[in-house]
Amino acid sequence: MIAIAPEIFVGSMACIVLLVGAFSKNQYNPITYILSLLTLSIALMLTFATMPITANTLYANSFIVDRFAHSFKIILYLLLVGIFVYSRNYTYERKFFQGEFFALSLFSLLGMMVLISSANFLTLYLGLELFVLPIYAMIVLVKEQSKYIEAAIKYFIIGSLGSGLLLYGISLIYGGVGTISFAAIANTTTPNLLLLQLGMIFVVVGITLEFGAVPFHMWLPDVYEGSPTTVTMIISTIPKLAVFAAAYRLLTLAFVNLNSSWQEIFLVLAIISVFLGNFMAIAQTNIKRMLAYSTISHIAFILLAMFVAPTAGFQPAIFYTIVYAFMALAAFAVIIYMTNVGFEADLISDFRGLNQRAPWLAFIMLLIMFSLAGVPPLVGFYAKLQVLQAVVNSGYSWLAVLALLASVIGAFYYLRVVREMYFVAPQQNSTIDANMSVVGKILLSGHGLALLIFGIYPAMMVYWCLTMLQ
Amino acid sequence: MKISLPWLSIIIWLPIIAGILLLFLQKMKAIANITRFLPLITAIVTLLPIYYVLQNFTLGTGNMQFTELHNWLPTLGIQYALGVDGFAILLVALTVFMTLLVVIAGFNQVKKDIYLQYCANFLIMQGLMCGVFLALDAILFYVFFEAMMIPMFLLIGLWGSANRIYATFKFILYTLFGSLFLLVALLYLNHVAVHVAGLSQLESFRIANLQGLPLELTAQKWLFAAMLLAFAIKIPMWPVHTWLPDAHVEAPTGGSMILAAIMLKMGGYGILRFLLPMLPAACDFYANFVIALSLVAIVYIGLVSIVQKDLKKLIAYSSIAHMGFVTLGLFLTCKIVIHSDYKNSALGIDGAVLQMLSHGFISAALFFCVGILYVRLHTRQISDYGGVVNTMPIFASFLMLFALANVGMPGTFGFVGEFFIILLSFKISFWVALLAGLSLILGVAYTLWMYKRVVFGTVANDAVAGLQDLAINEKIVCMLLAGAILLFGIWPNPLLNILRGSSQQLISQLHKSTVGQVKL
Repeated sequence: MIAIAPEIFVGSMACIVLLVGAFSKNQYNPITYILSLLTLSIALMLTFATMPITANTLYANSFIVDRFAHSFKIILYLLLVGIFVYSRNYTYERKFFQGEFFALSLFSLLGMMVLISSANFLTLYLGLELFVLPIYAMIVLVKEQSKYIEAAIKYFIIGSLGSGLLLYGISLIYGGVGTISFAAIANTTTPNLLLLQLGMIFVVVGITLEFGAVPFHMWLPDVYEGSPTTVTMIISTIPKLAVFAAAYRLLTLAFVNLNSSWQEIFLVLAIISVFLGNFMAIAQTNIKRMLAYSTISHIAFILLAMFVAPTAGFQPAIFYTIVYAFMALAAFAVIIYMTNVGFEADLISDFRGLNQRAPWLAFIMLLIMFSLAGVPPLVGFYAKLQVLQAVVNSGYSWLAVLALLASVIGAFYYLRVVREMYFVAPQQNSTIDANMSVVGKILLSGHGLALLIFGIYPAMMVYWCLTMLQ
Repeated sequence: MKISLPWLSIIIWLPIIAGILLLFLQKMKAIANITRFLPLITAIVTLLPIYYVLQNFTLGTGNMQFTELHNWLPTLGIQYALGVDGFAILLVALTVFMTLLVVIAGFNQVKKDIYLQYCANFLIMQGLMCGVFLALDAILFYVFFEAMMIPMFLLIGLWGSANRIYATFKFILYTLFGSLFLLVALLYLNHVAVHVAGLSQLESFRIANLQGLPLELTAQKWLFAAMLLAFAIKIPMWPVHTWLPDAHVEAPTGGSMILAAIMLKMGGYGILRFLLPMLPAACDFYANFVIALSLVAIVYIGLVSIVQKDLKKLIAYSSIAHMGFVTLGLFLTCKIVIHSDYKNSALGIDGAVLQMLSHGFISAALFFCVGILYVRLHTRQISDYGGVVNTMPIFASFLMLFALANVGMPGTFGFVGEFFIILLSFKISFWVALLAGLSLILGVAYTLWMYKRVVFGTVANDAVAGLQDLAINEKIVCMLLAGAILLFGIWPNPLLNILRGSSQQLISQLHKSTVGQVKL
């Protein structure tokens, strides 16, 4: 019970937030907001307190508790706190600021926590569904615009397809080895290899579909663009971590004997993702779409890191995923900062002349963009450096060259945002009316500077990622 | 007297911190009269640590001095390791000196309201550029090498002329493209160092540890191609030079000065530090190829300079031609050391470094002179000028000196390096020497013809008739540059003394690597 205290707590608090929201007279009562933040902070403490020293599996090998799971959960809380704080004013204006939104976020969080700790296919599927279903609902929580509905339906259909593929794969694997527990799959002495491998392919496809790797990426730009920015913020950050954790579990536990088979898939997906993501991003005028394609290229780097993980370890992949999530959060926070009533600030041209209108914000965005592009001394560089070192050490120098070549192409569109902010005169000269609370502003400054500070001194973070794997 | 302070860290971080502070101070308009002098004070103060290091620099040794060592990213084998030798100290001194000139020059050439921002940019860049020269760790080098582009990118984009955005994008994409190959090459070398040579992981990215690794010729060739591309873009060598004329033309005066004086030197420095000692066999294998490219740069780009109509473009192309001597000198040395008696070939290394330094002074001086004209008339077209000597006699005499130095006139700094290298090239072949020597004729053609069209003759138009001669700060900058050019032209010995230890060590490294190999 102690081991799953954070899950129990988040689950019950989600119900309470839902009830409080439903019964309070004022629909936009800030109490649900405060309650959710409280939930996250207490969950954070609980998770810290119950941090296990060794890995344990519970409930008939269905739920795994280890440092990795707990650390990832902590990062999820932090990210979600960031999302709530940054988008407080935005959600209020867009009439999101209500119990349902927070309850749905917490339910989604619970799903991701289950996913991170999953040790068999049943919990994996349970976690995955629990985290995506609330997101579908969140997109259309306010039916203001038809594009919200379009985005939600697109995500729903593709997500369901992914779940279907996953389930199909699970059933094939069960047919092949007669078990759904990850550890037991790896230990099966006489598996039906054909069924197992076929099932593995379906499962990997299901997972990469949630990731948004090419060629399963079609939903990503549309959903990013069509969703309200708060929800885009959620979709672009925490699910990536959760899905990565699920992939980590699968690859290190269930498919550990099939390394060469899934590695091939990851290699191909990574190469096409890194090129397509970067090339498509150049053509975008909408910054949310641009960030969607940039996500694809970053996912490609994570896939690349996982591709060499059997020889080089998972630490580079973990580092990259975490750094990516924080960079994406900061980028969307800047977009939210610039929004206003009836103004979404989602075009790249909306950033025109930002340096003259709000120099500090422009500087923060500059840091974020250079970090995403992987230019030192920002933390994004070390993420790329570690992945590339792992790739080169595994004997794939040509792959490192390809990946870097694509990221030079990628640098172009990040720099284009810098160009709009710094080199082009603003369309209007008024200062930016920040759509963010004071706390949010301070947090955003710290967040942007952290990208620089961790870039100048990355050792701590690298060390922290290493301890996760102990 | 030796004072144990982290002098090299001070050289790097003092200007960076000062630059960041200036960015915050620029908002306080009330004290603008005081803050206006802060960049100058900072630039002068940063001369002190460099003076101290120069004073206490031990001559005659190739070892790193003033070393600082801290673990930075131990799991990856990256250290914060700094040190100076003869090559680095001169280039660092040049960097600090040049930034001081830029700060002085900016006083009347840059608008008052952006002056602090402008100087802050240069001070931050100064620290980062010193970092490039002082880093003893390959990844630390790379971090500075890349980070330095961010202020340059902003500088050209923010304060450049009409076509600045195109130019700055071309600059940064070219450089990023080159350095990606450098990064992969470094990672591969590190892989070999740890997994083949069995070095300890903890300091596996140290530049010294990456030298002399047991590499097959095939691997060396690939690594050579990757690294040469990175450095060739920086130098820039023909045919990857096309970013340079654009960047120079569009950059503000200070940007052009730093770009020409310091940033181009990083390519040459990279060859000295990385290519020659790490991949001697491949350097030998490709030496003829690089020598050919250098000669193309010297002759062809020299011809291209003659026909330029834009003053800055002309100087930019002449930069490429002069930097051709650097690569020529380095790879001639490599060939000579490996194939013949190696005693005198320090001439090539010394010549290349002196050429880098002299080009740093001379090209910066010429860009500064163009800047002087540009702030007055807002045009860079040669045809818009004529008879400037009538209205700006002091300017005209300074420009005469700089133009003669650019030609390589004996007695100026421009002569020394080129003379060394042409002398050395006679050892390889008469024809190489002849082609390299053509530079002296082409240089006269493009520089003096430009000088004639701009300065001599009757006053061309009303705008020229209204020109004001040099302001006081411009005189100071011109005098400092002219002093340096004449002093080192007549008496280059102190520089050679500083270089001797390091160049001897490089030569013996090259020589050692070939002992036991089949002579081609």
